[in-house]
Amino acid sequence: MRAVSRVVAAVTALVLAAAAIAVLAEIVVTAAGHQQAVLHWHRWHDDALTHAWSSPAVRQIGFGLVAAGLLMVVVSLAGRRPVVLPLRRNDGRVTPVVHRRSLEQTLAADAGRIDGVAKPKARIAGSRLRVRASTARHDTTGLAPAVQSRLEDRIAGIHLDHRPAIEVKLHRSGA
Amino acid sequence: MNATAPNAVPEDERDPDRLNRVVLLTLGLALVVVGIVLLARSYGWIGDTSSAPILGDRWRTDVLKADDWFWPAAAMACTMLALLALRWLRAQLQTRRAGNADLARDGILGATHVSGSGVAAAFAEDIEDYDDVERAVARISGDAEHPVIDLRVDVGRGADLPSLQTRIEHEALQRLCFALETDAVAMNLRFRLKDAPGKRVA
Repeated sequence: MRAVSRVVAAVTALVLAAAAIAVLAEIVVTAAGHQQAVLHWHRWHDDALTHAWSSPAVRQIGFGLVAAGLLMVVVSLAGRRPVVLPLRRNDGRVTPVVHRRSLEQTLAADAGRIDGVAKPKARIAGSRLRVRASTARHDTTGLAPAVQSRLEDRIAGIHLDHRPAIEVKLHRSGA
Repeated sequence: MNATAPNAVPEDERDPDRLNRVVLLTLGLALVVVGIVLLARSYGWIGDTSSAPILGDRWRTDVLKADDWFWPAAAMACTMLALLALRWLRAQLQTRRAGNADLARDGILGATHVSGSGVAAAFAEDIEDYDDVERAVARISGDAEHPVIDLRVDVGRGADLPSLQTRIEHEALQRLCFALETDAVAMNLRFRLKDAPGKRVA
């Protein structure tokens, strides 16, 4: 969501800057006694004099503003997973962290090394580590506990500051 | 002296995300309110204005009356808005890593000037010699009394992070403290686990 937020922010900033510069240019050009520079404000002015509030254009603009505003609100309030996860500290001067995505990839790779586990995906969100994988085995007894045990050992060895609860789900892949 | 609160995530990890959240939320709410007001007037929910022209006589009279200050004020507002928007845009484009701070200290025998980039490079090279470390990148900020080092260490996926962390703290950081003649070096240590199981070959 950080990347989406950054793209939306960049586009919004660009639109705002361009609009402000265009209006500024128009004010300056008009004050200097010239005709319009970039914006067709004469036409917009005439339209605003002749069109009523109930015209379709006003409603389209209204719905457009509400939609754009809601998009921005959703992007700004959407949950973000942390970029890094804190590790246990030994020394008060040092703040150790591990890159979350790289840890997820490592845990998924660990799960994938267990015989019968395919396409593993790990996701750390809040205090949970969720692992999803598929298996071609008919009998999956003991497979999920094996994945869980492997990942518990791995996480214990990393010394995360808050150890996540592990949830493993295996889906049987088509024969 | 510790520059960072316990378990706090280094500040640069969140930037410019925090700024984006605040600005997008503010702008988003403003757009929703303006849009709802437009729709309310258009559908006649507030007063019976739906059949009135968008630019009424009152608006034109008010703007004409304020002609001496309205347009200069509008120009100034546009200038401010453009500058703020460009600054916001720049925050999206800039990279996280700034340069290294040089560390200067005045002593009895004269001033000592330490190149931050030189110290950071030497510190990173020191750590790159450790087993399991693929790559280390360091950056120094702060001042000579309270330097802060941001260290990113790329390690193989099988690396023993607690041992590596202890070794960095007890060996490399101690050497750095000795070189900088201060114990007040704070460090943000960031591990990234990488695919490659072994060290790079030069």
